[in-house]
Amino acid sequence: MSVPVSSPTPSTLSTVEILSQGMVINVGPQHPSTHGVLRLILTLDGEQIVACEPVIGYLHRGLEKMMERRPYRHNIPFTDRLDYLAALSNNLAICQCTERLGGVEVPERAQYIRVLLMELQRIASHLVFLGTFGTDLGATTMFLYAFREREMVLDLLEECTGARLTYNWVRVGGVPDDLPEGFGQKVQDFVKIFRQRIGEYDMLLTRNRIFRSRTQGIGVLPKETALAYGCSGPVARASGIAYDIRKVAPYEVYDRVEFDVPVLESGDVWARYLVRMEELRQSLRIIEQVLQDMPEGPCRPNCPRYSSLQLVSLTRVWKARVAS
Amino acid sequence: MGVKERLEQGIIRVPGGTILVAKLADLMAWARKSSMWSLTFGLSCCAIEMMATAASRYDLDRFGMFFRATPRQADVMIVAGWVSVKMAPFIKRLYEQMPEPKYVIAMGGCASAGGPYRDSITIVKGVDQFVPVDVYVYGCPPRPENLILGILKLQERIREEHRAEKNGLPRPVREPIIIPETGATG
Amino acid sequence: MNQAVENLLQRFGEAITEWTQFSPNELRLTVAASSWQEIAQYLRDEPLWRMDYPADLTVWDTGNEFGVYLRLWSSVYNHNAIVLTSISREQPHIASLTAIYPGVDWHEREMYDMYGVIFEGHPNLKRILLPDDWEGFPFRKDYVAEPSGNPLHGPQPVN
Ligand code: SF4
Repeated sequence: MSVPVSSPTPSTLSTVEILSQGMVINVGPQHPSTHGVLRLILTLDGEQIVACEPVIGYLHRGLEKMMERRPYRHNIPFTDRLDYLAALSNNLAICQCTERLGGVEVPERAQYIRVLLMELQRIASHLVFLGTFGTDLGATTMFLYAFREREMVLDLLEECTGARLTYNWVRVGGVPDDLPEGFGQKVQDFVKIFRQRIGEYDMLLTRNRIFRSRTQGIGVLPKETALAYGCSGPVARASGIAYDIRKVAPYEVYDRVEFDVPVLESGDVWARYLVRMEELRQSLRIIEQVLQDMPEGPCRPNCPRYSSLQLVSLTRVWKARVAS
Repeated sequence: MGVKERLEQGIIRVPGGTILVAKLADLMAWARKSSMWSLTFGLSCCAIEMMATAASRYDLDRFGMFFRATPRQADVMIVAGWVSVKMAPFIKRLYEQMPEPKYVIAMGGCASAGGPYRDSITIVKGVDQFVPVDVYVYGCPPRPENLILGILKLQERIREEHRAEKNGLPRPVREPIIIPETGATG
Repeated sequence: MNQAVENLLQRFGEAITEWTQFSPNELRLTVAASSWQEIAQYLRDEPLWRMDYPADLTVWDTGNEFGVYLRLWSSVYNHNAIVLTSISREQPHIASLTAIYPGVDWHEREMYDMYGVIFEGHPNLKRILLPDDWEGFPFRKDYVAEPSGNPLHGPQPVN
């Protein structure tokens, strides 16, 4: 597998600087921590990795090319499969774009439902992180714990949307249907149980000394680097960038709920872990508030089904409106 | 019915005890079918369902399924997700590195036939274009129950094949097993 | 933001062909391709702008020319800026921004991969998503997704 390399630099590896006694190792694309196929060409100096060239594109689908040919609403199912751990959030993104272009009003109840589902989705997604992260560190138990709770979220989402993973549940101008009966109560029960379970995770990982010593001070990403490389989400927030789109440019009803955005300065693996753990707690807070404030009313889309052509003309109208 | 005839039909459990009486061929077939180790081959969305199948609720360990990270220790490859032109050669190579007998499960629409990416420029229209597939599990993604059904069906086949081999019978023809979508998908 | 916009317009004059301010902290600029790099540098370094966060860089094909799109964010002022330019399809060359924003490295490689836009000065401009031996640039409007181009293609769906 490994190819010992003596100087000079082989011409095929243009971006890797090779030390005179270095060793080049190819990891992947299939490797012990797949899923997510990624190939890394590593240059080692003894035990230390001195250079790394990632090779990506093993899952490239040319989605943009496919979307070009379809009416925009036929593209919503594709967005499920972009980040399949948080399918609903992707649905929301494309629907919001279309809504903005068309100037569509979303009923208030639909907005609350969206936020509720988004936060449940966030919990499900973070739990996959937690489980697989634990497995990669050797704490396989964490995987079983995290997926146990994830199944509870999936049950809730399945009851609402009818699917376990690819929901396709946001529509331009609303959501396809109201919440099922008794859904609120079930979510409240889940919130209660999950609060305790977060305590269990803390016991398993956060207070675990081995886990700490394997994450604290490891993989530090300084703030300047994070900014220059355009990092976003929990990664950015763990490096001290207070950027959360829910606060910076609130959409739906995020401006009406109270929640904190955890921001840490140290930028190491430990900080990234803590940020996500805190986000789990904040999601629970949001869910509780949303359930309390959710108004009655319609939630289905109340707008015409635009075709792509109509949308293009709408875009022109919108552009003209902005320009004037 | 004498012991010999009963043995022809399979494994005999001695009542109340911890004793099994069986022909060696049957016993081995049983052992082989119950210890399928699979190659972790998570590509995309279906892989998440595969992970969920292995996790707490569905618990693939019950069927002796265990995920290995190296092809040399694997008996079955579950291709879970879409396969791009760039990825295909690696899958083929991994398949070739697996020891015989080896089996392939195509999980989900993408691995079976291209799925939603039928008209994509880079996605291969099904892994059966370059490796032989034993079980197709349909769905986008298939429910864990369906994947488990596929695995059980495959276990049956492994047992039959092994038995036939040991008894000197011709190998049963490998017809692909198809697990249709049931209920809500995803 | 107003003072900052004024300074910017004064500094670059002709090079900025159009500008729109959507909201107090959102600005869209259309600029000449020749001053692409200069403007990015200015937006990052100027104390009134401090656009230190490259959020996105992409290209689109209008059929006549390529549009290039850069979205920036300022972590200091929470300002957003969209910078647009267009380049010809025959000579798709534009200056690379990797020296200013290291984060756009892969974006530029991707755009080279998909549209064949040459980012001059990019340290490692080669295909990133598609296999190295792929022919053509698939996201161009005139690219035909030929089944023969992909040896593993099955029959095409009927649209
Ligand atoms: S079949 Fe559906 S769920 Fe499975 S990998 Fe393909 S798109 Fe994803």
